Amino acid sequence: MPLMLLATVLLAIGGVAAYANAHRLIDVVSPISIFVVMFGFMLANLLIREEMQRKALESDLQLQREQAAKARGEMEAARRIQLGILPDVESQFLRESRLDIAARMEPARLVGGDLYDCFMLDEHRAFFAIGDVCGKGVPASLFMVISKTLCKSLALRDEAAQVDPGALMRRANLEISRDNPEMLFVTAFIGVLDLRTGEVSYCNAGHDRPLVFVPGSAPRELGGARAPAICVAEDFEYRMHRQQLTAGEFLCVFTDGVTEAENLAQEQYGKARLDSVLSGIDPGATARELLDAVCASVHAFAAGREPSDDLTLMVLRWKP
Amino acid sequence: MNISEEQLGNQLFKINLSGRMDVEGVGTIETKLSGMTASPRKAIIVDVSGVQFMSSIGLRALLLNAKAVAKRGGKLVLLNPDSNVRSVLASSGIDQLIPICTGLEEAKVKVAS
Repeated sequence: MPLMLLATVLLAIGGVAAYANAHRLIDVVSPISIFVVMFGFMLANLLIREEMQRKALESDLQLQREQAAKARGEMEAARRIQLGILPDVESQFLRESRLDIAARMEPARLVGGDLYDCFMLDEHRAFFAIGDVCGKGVPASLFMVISKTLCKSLALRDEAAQVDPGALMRRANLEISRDNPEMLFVTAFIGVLDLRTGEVSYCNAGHDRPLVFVPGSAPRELGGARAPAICVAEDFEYRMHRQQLTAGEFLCVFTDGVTEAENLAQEQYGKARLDSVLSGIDPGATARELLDAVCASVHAFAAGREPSDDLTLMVLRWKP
Repeated sequence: MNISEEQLGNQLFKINLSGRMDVEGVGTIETKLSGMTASPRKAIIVDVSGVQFMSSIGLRALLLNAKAVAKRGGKLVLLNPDSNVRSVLASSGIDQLIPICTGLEEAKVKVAS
C-alpha cells in the first residue's frame, strides 16, 4: 500500500532530520511512532474520502432539485393552460341580466380531472355542463379536456332549439368511448336553461344530482332515472328530463369533491351540510356569494387536511 | 387495502376486498385483482363488505374486471356493499352493469345465471 510506504519514508526522513537539526534521537521503528504516523495517514484518507462522497451527494441532490423544478415548471404551465380553458363565466355573462352565474374549480393536485363549461347556444338558451373524470392528475385532466371540447362542438353543431341533452349525451358517449385506451370514465351533467321561460332540460350521466332551491327552503334534487357515467356502457340510451325553475330560484351544480371532502377525522362533508349552507343563504345573495359561502364552509370543515379530490361548483340563478 | 380469495365450488370463486378503494388502495391490489378474475374463471363474487370508501378509481377497477369477465361469457357480482359504497354504486349507475347482491346465497344464484 503506497500510504504505508510513504509513511515509512517520511518517518525515516523525520528521524534523520530530528537528529541532524535538533540532536534528538527518535526511535523511528518504535511501534508507537509507527502507530501515530499510520493513524494520521488513515485519518487523512478517511477525511478525504468523506469529502469526496459529500461533494458527489451534493451534486446529485442539486441535479434532482433542478429536474424537480423543471417538472414543476411544466406542471404549472399545464395548470395555467387547464385553468385557461375554463370559461370566466362571471365576465362572460355580465351583460345577461336574466342569468346570474358563478363557477370555480379547485384541483386537488396541480391539474384536475373536473371541468365545467357554460355558454349561450343562442340569444335565449344557456348551455351548462359539469364533469368529473375518474382519477386525478395529468391523465384525468387530459381526458377531461378532450371530453369538454368534444361536448361543446357537438352542442354547437345543432340548431340551438334542437339541442336535446339526452341525444347529446348519447353522441358524446359514443365519441369519447372510441378513443379511450386508459378506460377512463366521466360522470357528467349537461343542461340547457331557456332564459325566457326558466325551463331546464337536462341529462345526468352518473353525476351527483344538482340542487335547486329558493332561499329559505330545503333544496331539492334534479331527479330522473339513474344513468351510468360516460364510457361505462357504450350504447346506453340516455334520456332528457325537464324541470321548471321559479323566478329567482338557484341551481347548484357540483362534483363529489364537495360532498366527499374529508376532515382529519375522516368524516365526509356530506349532503346535509351542503343543504344547510344553501338553504341558509340570504335571499338577496348573488350566485358568487353563494359559491363563496359553500367553498368557505367546505374549507373550514376540511381544515388541516389536504384535499383528496378536485372541488368544482357552479351556481346559476334565473332572474327573469 | 387487502385482497384475498377463496374457492367456493367448482369454478366458483369469491374475492374479498377490504380497506379504502382510493387511488393508493387500488394501486396496491389492482394487479392481484386482475389475476384473480383472469381466464378461465367465469363465476366471480366480489365481497366488498369490508370496503370503507369507494372512489371513482375504485369503480373503474371493478368495472374493468367485470367487463373482462363478461367478455369471456362469465359473470362478476358484488356482495354486501355498506350504505356509503352502495350509494356511490347507485349514483354512478355502475349498479346497472354489475349486479349488487345482499347475502351469499343470492350472489351464488346471480352469478350462475
